Amino acid sequence: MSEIKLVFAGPTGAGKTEAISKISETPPLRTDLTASDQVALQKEMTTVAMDFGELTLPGGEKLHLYGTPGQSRFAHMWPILARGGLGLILLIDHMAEDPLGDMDFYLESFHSFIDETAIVIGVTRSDLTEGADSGPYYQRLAGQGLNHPLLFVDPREQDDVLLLVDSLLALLEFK
Amino acid sequence: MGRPRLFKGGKGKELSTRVDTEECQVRLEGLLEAQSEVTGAVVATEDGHVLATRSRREMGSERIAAMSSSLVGLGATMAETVGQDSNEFVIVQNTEGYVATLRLGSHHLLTVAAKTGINLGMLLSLARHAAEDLASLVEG
Repeated sequence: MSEIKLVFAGPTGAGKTEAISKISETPPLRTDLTASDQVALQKEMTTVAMDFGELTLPGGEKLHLYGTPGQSRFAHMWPILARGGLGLILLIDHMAEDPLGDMDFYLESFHSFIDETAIVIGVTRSDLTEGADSGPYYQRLAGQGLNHPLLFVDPREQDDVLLLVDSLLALLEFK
Repeated sequence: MGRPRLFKGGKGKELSTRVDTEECQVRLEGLLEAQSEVTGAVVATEDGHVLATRSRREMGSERIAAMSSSLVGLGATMAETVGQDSNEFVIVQNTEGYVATLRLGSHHLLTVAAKTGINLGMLLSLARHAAEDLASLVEG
């Protein structure tokens, strides 16, 4: 039976751990430890190594879902977790100070992985503001000659996370 | 280095006691003086920020603190996954030495690096005693 490894990346608080826990059919493996810095203003615990979850597709293929720690001091984990991955789900926190800058940063950090695989971008927490607009995100991508799919999602909603996974799998089939 | 810990737990709650990083440095210095095979030691928050560090030559404390956090995070998850309760040490054994990481109090970590001249049991014992000694400084 084939296994497909997908990687979740993006800044702290975008909902990576939550997204994996919402779709994993086994209790997800987590490595949360207490935040001692500004992250503690938003949440008590933060991922320091990885998240891991599993999901079986209707066709029988098994998805292995790897979550990365968001903070750049844990960048040593990123290439370790990306190795052998077939695609990237990048989650961006719409309510962060500079979500477009965050998107640039993670696209750049994972660019060699993205070049070899596929990516979908999920913008989260847009429910906390009125009239969230995807225009600026697409413009920023277009400015770099990129046309990655981008969706507003809620990582607490299983259907939203599955939509991201389905979009990524559709891209992979297409490749 | 010697980064003060400003936040703990819930939203914006400021920590009433600050870590005595200078005294931590002194204790780490003592650890290196007591055992010539120990090449360096780092005290970090459990989420990977350096609080104090001492080493015979520069070894990249910031990265070591962050990696220590990842290792302890994985160590705890591994211990739980195989049904062995709490993780005590994460030991990285290399051709020219060992790196041992353990918890220090409830929210901090200690990582000690040593050359192969030391016996592993001795290193673990030293590290455990150092962690007990340092715990009162970081937990207030």
